Amino acid sequence: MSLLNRQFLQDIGIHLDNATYDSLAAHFEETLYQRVIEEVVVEMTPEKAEELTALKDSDESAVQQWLVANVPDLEEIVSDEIDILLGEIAESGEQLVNE
Amino acid sequence: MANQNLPPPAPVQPPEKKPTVNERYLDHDSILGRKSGAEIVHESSDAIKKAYETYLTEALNNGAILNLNPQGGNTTPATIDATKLKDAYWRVCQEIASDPNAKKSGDGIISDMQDLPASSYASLVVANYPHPESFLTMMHEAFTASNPNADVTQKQDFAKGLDHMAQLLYSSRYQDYEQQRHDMDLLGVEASQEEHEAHNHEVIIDMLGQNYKVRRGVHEFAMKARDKRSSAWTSLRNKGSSPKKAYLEARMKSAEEKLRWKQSELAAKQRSIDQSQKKLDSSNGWFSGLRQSRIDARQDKLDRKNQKYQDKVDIRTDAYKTHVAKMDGRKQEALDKAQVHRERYLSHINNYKEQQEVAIANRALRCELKGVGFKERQERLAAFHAHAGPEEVKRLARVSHIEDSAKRKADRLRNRHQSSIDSAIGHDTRATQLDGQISANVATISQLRGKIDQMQQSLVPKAEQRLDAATIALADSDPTQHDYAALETRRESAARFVAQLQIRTHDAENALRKLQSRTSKLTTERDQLRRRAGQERTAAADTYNKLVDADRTERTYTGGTQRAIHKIQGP
Repeated sequence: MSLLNRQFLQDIGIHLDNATYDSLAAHFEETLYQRVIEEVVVEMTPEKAEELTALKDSDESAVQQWLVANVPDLEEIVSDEIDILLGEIAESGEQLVNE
Repeated sequence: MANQNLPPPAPVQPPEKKPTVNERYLDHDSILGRKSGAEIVHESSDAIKKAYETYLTEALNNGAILNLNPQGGNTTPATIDATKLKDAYWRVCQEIASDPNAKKSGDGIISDMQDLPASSYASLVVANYPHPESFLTMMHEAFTASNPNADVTQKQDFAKGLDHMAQLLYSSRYQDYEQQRHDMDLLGVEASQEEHEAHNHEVIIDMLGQNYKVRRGVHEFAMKARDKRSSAWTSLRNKGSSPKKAYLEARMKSAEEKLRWKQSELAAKQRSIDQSQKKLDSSNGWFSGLRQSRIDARQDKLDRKNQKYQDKVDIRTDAYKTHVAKMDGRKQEALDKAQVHRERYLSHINNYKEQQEVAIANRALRCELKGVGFKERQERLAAFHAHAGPEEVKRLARVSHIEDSAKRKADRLRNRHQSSIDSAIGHDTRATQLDGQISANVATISQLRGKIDQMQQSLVPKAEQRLDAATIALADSDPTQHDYAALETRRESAARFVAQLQIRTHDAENALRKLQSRTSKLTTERDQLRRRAGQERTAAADTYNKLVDADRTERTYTGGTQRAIHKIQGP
């Protein structure tokens, strides 16, 4: 399920064609997950961060398991970053509505 | 007025707060251990050439370089050959690529160019080249080299273009800087003045580059949407001045004009009638009655004409006013509707902004609780980026995008677990059915064995005794005697009975063997099913353990996103 959907954009007054919407959705997700991993790193001790970087050549499931086991706030981080990103898009919507 | 030997344009004075390029990029590049811009650009010359061609074409089409006068006012038509200017740009790019001092910011100039609108390429060039003034000079030199015969007007235009471009670039950089600082505030990154001074702002800004990037990306998308909305609003505003309204207004005015024009004509006629009436009133001559009736007829005709023109004006005025009222009503209705939408949008937007504020506060609180200060936060990020490398960071970021994969994995394990359980139950059920068949067979085998034993131990010996007795009796009797035939019949009957018993015994033994064989197979099959059911149960238990882990992963990752989805879509 895509996090960014048309209903959300329409709710804040942004109407996009399909190609633009797809592009924005991809941009949104890429940015979101980049921020999640950076926020995860910020909250880790340097030792843990080194452990994570050591996993950079491991398969995905190993990295996932490590993240789940070592980042107790992961759920909260994901949720917060989503809220922040959606808020930023909503601010752009506000510009439109106020014009 | 410029002349043939137009000097390179003087560098534009940057705004006071503008940091130097070196301040912006040297530090964080060295901290993050990234490649220099020259290295990256040199490795990707085809891509950058293409990007610049795109930029140049769009810039020319949009008039951003040559056609706009930065002071506002009149525009200057572009007279420079686009191909030659493109060559000039390309020479500059080559120079940049070969300059060992060129620096790079972000994740690479190429990827930046792919992510940004063409209108931002110019600022990228300046941002990635340590000496923007030199860049502009180089632009001018490259232009001169590729346009040796350019006339005064062409050079003037080019100089204006450069001048404007420089202003745009500095202005853009300054705005970017301010915007990024604003982003920091929004993200809850609070730093003391000392910290701000102690740490290069640009390091922080680069750390938050993704945030900046998405803002710019979203802004671009939003602007596209705004264009559509503006078009809709223009249409709405113009609703009151439709062609029909103009037509009705023209007809109304035409009728009024005609009325005014005719009124002077009718007034002359009225004066003539009045004079005739006056003359008639002062005379008392012959045929006064007839003359009065003629005057009355003229007056009637004049009144009718007057009324006719007045009626036409009234009718057309009514039509015009009715139309205007109708259009005004529709316009108001549309405006009311738009206002409702607007309020609804604002309500949603405010909700999202409130959630955003809470999330920012949460993030700051998490850092605070863990004792991660501003400085440490930046150091950790820088160390991570330096250690992992940009591609690995991207990969790890993608790995964090495991909502779907975690869900798929959990689903797969759930299916496998259920399938194992279903198989185990199926095998057990079949084994139980076989148990029933085997028990029935064993009972039948037992009955058969009893019958065979009975025949072999009792019936057959008795029948054979009878046969022996009948055979002896027949041998002892005289064939001429009357009872010989009866004895013979009795012996044959006894012999048949023995034969029948032997056949039945044989058949029963065959049936017994077959049933024993079948029962043995069923038993083997049942045992196999029991073993497989046991294996499936073991597999289900193993899968269940994996499922517990996968469920935890799924819940962890989807928990956050699921909440967000509920916020967007409702539960």
